[in-house]
Amino acid sequence: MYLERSGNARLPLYKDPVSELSIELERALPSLRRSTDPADRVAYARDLWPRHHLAVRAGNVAEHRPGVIVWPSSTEEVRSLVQWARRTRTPLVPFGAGSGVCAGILPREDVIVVDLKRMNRWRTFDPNAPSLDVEAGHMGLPLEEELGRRGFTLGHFPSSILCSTVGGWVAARSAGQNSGYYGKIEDMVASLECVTGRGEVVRLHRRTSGPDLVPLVVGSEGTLAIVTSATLRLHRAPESRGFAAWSFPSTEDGWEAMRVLFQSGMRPAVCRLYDPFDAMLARRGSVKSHAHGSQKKSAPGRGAAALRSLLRKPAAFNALIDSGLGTKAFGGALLVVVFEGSGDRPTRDAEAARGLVESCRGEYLGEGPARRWMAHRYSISYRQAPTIASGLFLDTMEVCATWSRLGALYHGVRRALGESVFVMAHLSHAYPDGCCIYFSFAGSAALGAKSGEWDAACERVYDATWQRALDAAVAAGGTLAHHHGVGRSKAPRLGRELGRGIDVVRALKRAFDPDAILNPGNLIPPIEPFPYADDAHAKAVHT
Amino acid sequence: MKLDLESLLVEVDARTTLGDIEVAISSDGLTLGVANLASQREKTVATWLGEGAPGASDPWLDPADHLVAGLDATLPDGSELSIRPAPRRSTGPDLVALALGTHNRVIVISRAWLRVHHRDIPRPTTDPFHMERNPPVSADEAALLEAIRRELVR
Repeated sequence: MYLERSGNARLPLYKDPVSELSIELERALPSLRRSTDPADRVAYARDLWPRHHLAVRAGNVAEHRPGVIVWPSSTEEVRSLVQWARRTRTPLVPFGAGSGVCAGILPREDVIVVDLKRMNRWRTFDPNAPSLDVEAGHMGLPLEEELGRRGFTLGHFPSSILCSTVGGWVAARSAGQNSGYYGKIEDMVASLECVTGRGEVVRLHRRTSGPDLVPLVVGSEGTLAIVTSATLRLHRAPESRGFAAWSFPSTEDGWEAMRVLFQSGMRPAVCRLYDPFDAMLARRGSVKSHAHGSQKKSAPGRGAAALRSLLRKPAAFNALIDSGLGTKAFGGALLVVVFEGSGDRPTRDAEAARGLVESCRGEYLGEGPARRWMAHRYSISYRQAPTIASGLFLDTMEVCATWSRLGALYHGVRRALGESVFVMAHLSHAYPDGCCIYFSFAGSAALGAKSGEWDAACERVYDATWQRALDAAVAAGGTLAHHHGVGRSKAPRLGRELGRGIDVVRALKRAFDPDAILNPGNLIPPIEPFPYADDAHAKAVHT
Repeated sequence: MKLDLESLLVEVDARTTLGDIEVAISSDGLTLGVANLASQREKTVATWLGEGAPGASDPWLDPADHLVAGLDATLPDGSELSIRPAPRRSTGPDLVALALGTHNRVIVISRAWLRVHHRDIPRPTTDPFHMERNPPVSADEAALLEAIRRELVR
């Protein structure tokens, strides 16, 4: 049964969406693997948006369960599904591995989540190009491992590599830790196969002289098309690496060294600058020793209570850390670089970098810190749960600007965040014309919050913090996101950066997906009350 | 024309010719790095970008770099689109793609932030990549481009 509405908003009316969707799907696409199992519906109810963690902590484990989850195994199955969804006006949400952090996944009962992980085949491997056409559901780490066995690398190492897919990387405009040499995912995609919201299978090719539709689908976060495969440019696996590290009196001195390196034509695969506090964590390797059964309990205790108390007055804490005293106590900012290549070239590059960096007040620390970083490069991302369980919240914000605006962006966003949360930063993706700043922050409920309303109070601080920080990023001339995407969490603020660009994105949406069935409510802020965005935006960062 | 020496970007009115830009930035030891500049000196930035920036450095050879950091353009309804300069972004589709190689038929470039390079520093290059740089535009791609143009006019 369908409710006729004006325009293209003809919506299915299900009394019992879960069972009725499943029955309709069985009738139309009997061979498509699917599930309405309650456990599956809980598992696919969200991504890793940190605000969800607060809801889970409050006992709301899965507020946004989809009606059905499907696992297509071929482009043809995806095409049939999209055509059926278009006929029935059923929203589809493409799903990789669920590691997004911006609420790109926020379904409801009349939504079908399309998990692409059964589409994980290598289609064409061309060692001479070198390139690989791989299906979108392929997981990140196994891909890189298999390429390594054959002597190649994609060069894409996001911290989510253990829990992300090729399609997810493309959807979010992902960046990896080695972006200084290999670029971001948009620099690696030679072509895309995708199924548009029209239900058509198209192959889009990147062209150095255009026209080029690939950059329109990369970063579209599942709203224009479902990516089914990507042809990716590969590199020979590096034979050798060169490591180096320096400390700096200030973070500003450190990013000046990064600028000089990249504008001098150097391309360290890894180039990461940590502010003094983050540097202190990096020097420790970001990992506590768990040897000999000495793992400390992470559950709320005295330490957690003390930290919660401290984080209720973050401005004073931040001022102390940012003072010269804090910088001295933590040993200054830290820059680590890793060059990759063959023979002794990486070592020679690292040696050549010394002269440039040391002219920017860098004090050479040898190879050790860079080697330690390499050994623990994925550690920090998987250590958040105990902190959240202890009553705090954590999040990260990755913004970007040209070098001439970087200082305004760094100080503006840091100040905005620092009013309500403890903040630290590192700069991890440098380019000849600018850099990404990656802020990490931890917060707590505001002073006066009672224990019974703790989670709601945390959410209020969380939302206000994001609003201020996004506004500060735009005011400083930066971008709202460098590689996490927009999702629903930043969508209400996107217009402040893009201006009329929002209308252009809407025009793209109409061209690719005229019935708005693909991940509705994501990325593009609704013009008017929109059928699938109501509960999402109740949880989003409000304008 | 404004030169951001810190970011190595030049902000230009899209009616400026490549030759004029090259002359203006040469006193700072900079160049656009266009391979066949002599034959394109009289081209405006709008025309050159609309043609797909012939002679610009191959982006596959230095993935960390790029040609256009930002641009202003006029939409078919006469309103202005402004894409602020940034080395990379993750804020939805890259709208710069609507301008490059589309001969100003989709949007009309009015201002651009272009990367400039030190004359005396060799451009870095990664491994070779042997793939067709400009494969023919398929019927599907042409249809999508036309649909986009139509929706922008709407």
